[in-house]
Amino acid sequence: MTETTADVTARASSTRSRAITVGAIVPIVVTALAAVITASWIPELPSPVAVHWAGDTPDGYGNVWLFILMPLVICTLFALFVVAMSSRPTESGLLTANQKFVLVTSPWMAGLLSVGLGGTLWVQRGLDDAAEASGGAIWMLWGLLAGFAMAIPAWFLLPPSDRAVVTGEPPAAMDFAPTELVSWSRSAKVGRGARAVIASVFVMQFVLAFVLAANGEPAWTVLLVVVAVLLVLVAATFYWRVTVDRRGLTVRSALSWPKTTIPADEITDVAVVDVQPVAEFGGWGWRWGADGRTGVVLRTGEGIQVTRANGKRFVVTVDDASTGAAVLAGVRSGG
Amino acid sequence: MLIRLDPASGVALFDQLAGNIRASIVSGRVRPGERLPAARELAASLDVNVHTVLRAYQELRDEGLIELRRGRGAVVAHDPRDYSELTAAIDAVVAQARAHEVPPAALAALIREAYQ
Repeated sequence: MTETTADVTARASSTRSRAITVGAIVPIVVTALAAVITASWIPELPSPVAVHWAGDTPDGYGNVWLFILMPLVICTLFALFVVAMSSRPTESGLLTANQKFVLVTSPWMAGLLSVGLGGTLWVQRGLDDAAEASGGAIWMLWGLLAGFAMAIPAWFLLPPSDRAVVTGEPPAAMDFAPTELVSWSRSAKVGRGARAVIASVFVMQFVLAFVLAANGEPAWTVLLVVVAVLLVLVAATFYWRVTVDRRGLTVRSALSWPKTTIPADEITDVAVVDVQPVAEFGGWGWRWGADGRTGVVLRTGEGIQVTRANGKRFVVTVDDASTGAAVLAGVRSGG
Repeated sequence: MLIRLDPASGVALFDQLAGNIRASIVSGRVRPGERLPAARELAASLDVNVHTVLRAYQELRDEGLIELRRGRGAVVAHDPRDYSELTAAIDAVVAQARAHEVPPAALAALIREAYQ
């Protein structure tokens, strides 16, 4: 069966509209409805309402609008992210398993927050004082169930995940004399998209730590420890060197760890591939893709992919990947 | 940066290594500020003695092409020296040599002669 370009284009546009329905329209409509319904209860609700529960009794109170609007605001922001992430279907007009997973997280979250937070307001109707409320905690469980009730059909509404194996372009192997000494290497660093995500995570952590410290919560020190650990992880996976020589392919962090070498004689195939970090690997850094590939994925674009004798595939994003792949193919062929 | 050394050529390995890196820098294949592999790393990669790499790096530093910093390894010099005219002239000379069937070794000898 041959497929025309028109078929693929039609499928890609159907994929895109289903992705927008699942990732954005359904969650936004559900949380907006939940906001309208919960807002209609305001006359019956105590003020302030219980917003935090210890077991089955409330231990934290706040403004009712917090719970009315929070699901809608969070789900709208998340919807923007997931739609941007899945706006480019794969070559055959489908989505990767990673893209589908992130997309159904959107309706899952809408179900969880609408039912979970809405339920804790439902049990407070008719009370004069929120402290008398009980039976709120069980609604987080109903919320979880509602989340799955939305996410599972959403998964099947999306097209089947693309199981096509990324083969890439085979390089033209470089010719080497048997005695020739060879080394190709490039430095590589995390790309702009990942840097923006990392920076925003750190800003959020610092703001949170500041708010906690200002409120006299001792938890802020824990948060700073988390930030310190994250900093070490980021530092270890920010700058890399990719080396191809007679030993094989070596990918090494500038801090010497983590590091991996794939020996030349274990490599059965070398290719130049185009890498989409979020869609194919769910993010940046040392990653495992849903299609079984491992990779040091630092940015969108060209990379070297090697297949080992045991069938495992490894990818590294690096500039001038075609030269690196050509050298690797050359040393592998025993030149 | 691709490095290819031929131990059978008769030219010292450090000289060939410096030549390879120089060509990469002058042609712009590696950019100013780019970090070169640490001497020990490059020596292991090529399977040569670390002193061979250090000697090549020192030569390039003396030419102002790279900066050697303790603990930070070798970095391509930030000096915005423009080699485009030199690269163009070399291309022209090589084209002439090819047209007149002058082999690379003879051309190199002619250039060395002209320098003295």
